[in-house]
Amino acid sequence: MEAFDALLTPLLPRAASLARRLMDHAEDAEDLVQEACLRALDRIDQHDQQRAFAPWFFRVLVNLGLNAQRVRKVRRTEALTDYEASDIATPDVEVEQSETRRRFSVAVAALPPRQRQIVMWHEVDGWSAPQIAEALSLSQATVRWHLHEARRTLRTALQDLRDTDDGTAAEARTR
Amino acid sequence: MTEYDHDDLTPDPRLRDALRLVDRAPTLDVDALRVRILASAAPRLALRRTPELSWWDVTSRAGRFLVPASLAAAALAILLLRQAPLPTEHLDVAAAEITNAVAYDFSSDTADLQRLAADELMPADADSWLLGDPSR
Repeated sequence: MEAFDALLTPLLPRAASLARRLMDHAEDAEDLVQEACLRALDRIDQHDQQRAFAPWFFRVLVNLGLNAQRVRKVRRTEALTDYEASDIATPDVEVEQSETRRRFSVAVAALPPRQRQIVMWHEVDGWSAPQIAEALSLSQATVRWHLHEARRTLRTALQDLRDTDDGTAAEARTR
Repeated sequence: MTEYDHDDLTPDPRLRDALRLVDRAPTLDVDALRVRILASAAPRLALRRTPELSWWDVTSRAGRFLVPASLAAAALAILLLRQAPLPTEHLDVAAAEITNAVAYDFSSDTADLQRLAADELMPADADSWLLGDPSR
């Protein structure tokens, strides 16, 4: 038990970071981390002792998360992203948010899911491109391409919103 | 070289702040999660410490040693048998010796005995009686 604890506890913050982006809901994310830990325990014999444990464990977690996402997509009847669905389902929050923030949220939601996850891991959670590549079993070039595309789209959206806000403010001043 | 290779991916504070504002990913209580995971893993860990062996486990584990050992023993036996002289050679030698001995006996003692017996039965002058005197 001590060995299991010592092995997994240092990885839990990053595992939680991965899971919360993959699952979007706290309970699902917690279930995913727990399932990944138990799966890793069951299949520890398959892990190559010559290699680091963390990337292998994160790959187990990501694969389980992607499978869960597929199952959830099949269950969903609406083709809305979680961000869009959340915007509509919580009008009170929407009212509290500024128009700029809401529209930027929509721009984020419009990103392809993988790009959205990768840019959030990189920009918000502080993961490096090699770390993301390792966890997702992708090449670093692919991760960098996704990051580049996502950042370019979001920077453009931010600039457009800023220009619109500036125009609106100038229009208000002229009245 | 493509366009994205030029992107140095340095942190963009403005973008990061904007993303944090709209980030709706749930926050997890890592400590509570750790306790929950350890509790759910405890039975499995206990099971791993004392594995219940089925008959198949025992057989397969024993087979790992018994099968190679049997193969090695068989190979050794074949090697020894190939190197040793064939038992038929011994038999041939023995048979030849017996044949020679019998032939010798027949050629010496037995023949002598037969000659002696013939001499005993027939007197020396019997030749003429038996064979008859051609002059008679």
